[in-house]
Amino acid sequence: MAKEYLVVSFPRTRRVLINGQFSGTTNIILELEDGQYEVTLGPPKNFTPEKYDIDLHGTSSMNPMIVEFKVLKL
Amino acid sequence: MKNNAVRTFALMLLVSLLIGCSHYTVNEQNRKFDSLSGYRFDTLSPGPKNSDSLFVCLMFSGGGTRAAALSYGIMDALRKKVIRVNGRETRLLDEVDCISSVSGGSFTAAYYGLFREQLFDDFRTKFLERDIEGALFGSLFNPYNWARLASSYFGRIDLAAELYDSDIFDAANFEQLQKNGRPFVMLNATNLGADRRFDFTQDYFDALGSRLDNYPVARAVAASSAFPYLLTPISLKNYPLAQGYTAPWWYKNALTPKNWITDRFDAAKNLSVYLDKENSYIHLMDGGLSDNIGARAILDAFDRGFIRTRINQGTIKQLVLIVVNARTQSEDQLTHV
Repeated sequence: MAKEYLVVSFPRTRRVLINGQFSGTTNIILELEDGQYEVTLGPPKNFTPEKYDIDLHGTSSMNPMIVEFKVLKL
Repeated sequence: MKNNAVRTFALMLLVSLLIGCSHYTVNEQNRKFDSLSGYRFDTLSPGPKNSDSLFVCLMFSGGGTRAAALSYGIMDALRKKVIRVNGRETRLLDEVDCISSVSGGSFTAAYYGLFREQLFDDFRTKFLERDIEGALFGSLFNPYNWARLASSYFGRIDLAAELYDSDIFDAANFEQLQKNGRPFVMLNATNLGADRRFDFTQDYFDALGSRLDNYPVARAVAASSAFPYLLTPISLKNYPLAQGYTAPWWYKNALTPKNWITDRFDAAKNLSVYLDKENSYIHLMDGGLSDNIGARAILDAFDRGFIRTRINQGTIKQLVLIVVNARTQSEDQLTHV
C-alpha cells in the first residue's frame, strides 16, 4: 500500500510509459509502488534520453522523484 | 444362474464405464496470447450509465448463505439509492465498476454479473431460500453419482458445480460475463499449493496458458465457496504459456531480492507460481482461506492494476470502496483470551 511519487518532466504533455505500460502523463505526480522501473515517453520519439531506469523509493507527494526528458533537436 | 451372471457382468461394465467417463471440466489451453481480449477489466464496456470519474468497487465477504443474503441486500439498497454524477441523476448500482467476492458472496456477485436486474426477481427463490446443502446432500445418495465419485477425476465439488451450473447459473460461461460489461466480477479462490489468492480473470489464466472465456462460471463459484473437508478442490491445468505472452507491466524487476518485503514482490511471487510449469495443476478451494472479505483483489488493482492506471491517467476523480462483511462478531476476540 505504501506509495511512491514520480514526476516525469517534459516541455509538452505526453503520455508516460512505465515498464511499457501507458501510466499517466508528463508533468503531473504519478503514484507507484516502490521498486525499479523503466520510464520513457510515448511517441513521437523526439525526446532524449531514450529512457530512464529508476529505483523509486523514499519519496513523498511533496518531494517526488523527478526525471527530465528534453526535446531532441534534429 | 447364467442370466444372473450376465446381469452382474453388464452392471459391472456399466459402472466401470461410468467411472471411466467421469471427469471434471478441464480448462482449455490458450495457443495465442492477446492482451486485448478475454475477461479482464480493460475489455469490458463501461455501459451507458457508468462514469469513470466516480469509480465504485464492492467487496463481498464469505459467510455462506448469510453472506450471499447480506450482499443481495446491499445490491438492493444500491439500486434504490439515486445520486447525482456529472450533473445527471443515476442509481448508485449503475456506477459499480467492479465486485470482488469470496465464498457465499460469490453467488450474489456472479448472479448479478450474469443476469443483472433479474437478481432482484428470482435470486431469493433460486438460491437464498432454497436448501442448496440439502440438494447437494441428496445428490450424494444417487447411485448414479456413486459410480462417478469412484473416479479419481470426479469429486464432490464437481457434483456441486454441476448443480450450480444447471440450477442457478444456466450453464453460463465467462464469455457471457464479458459481454455484459461492467461491473468486473472477480471471483476469488485459494490456491492450496501456494496458500495464495487466485481469481478467475484472464490475467491469472494467461499465466496458466489457458482460456477463461469458455470456462463455466459455476465452477469458479464452486471453487470460491469450496469449504474444506465438506467439498474437494477444483483443479485447473497449468499449460505452457501461449505464444506471445508478456507478463504484466509491474512484473519486470519486481523480484529484486532487496524488495522482498514489498507487496509488489509478493504479487510477483504469486504470479511466478503459475509461470513455473513444474506446477502442472493447481487445486483451488474456498477464497476465505486466503482473504475472507475479498479485499485483496481490489487492493491489488489499486496498487498496480486497473484502478492505479486510471488514477494516474486522471480518469478517476472519486474512488468509493464498499466492504460488505457478513462476519457476525463485531471485533477480534484474541485479546480477550
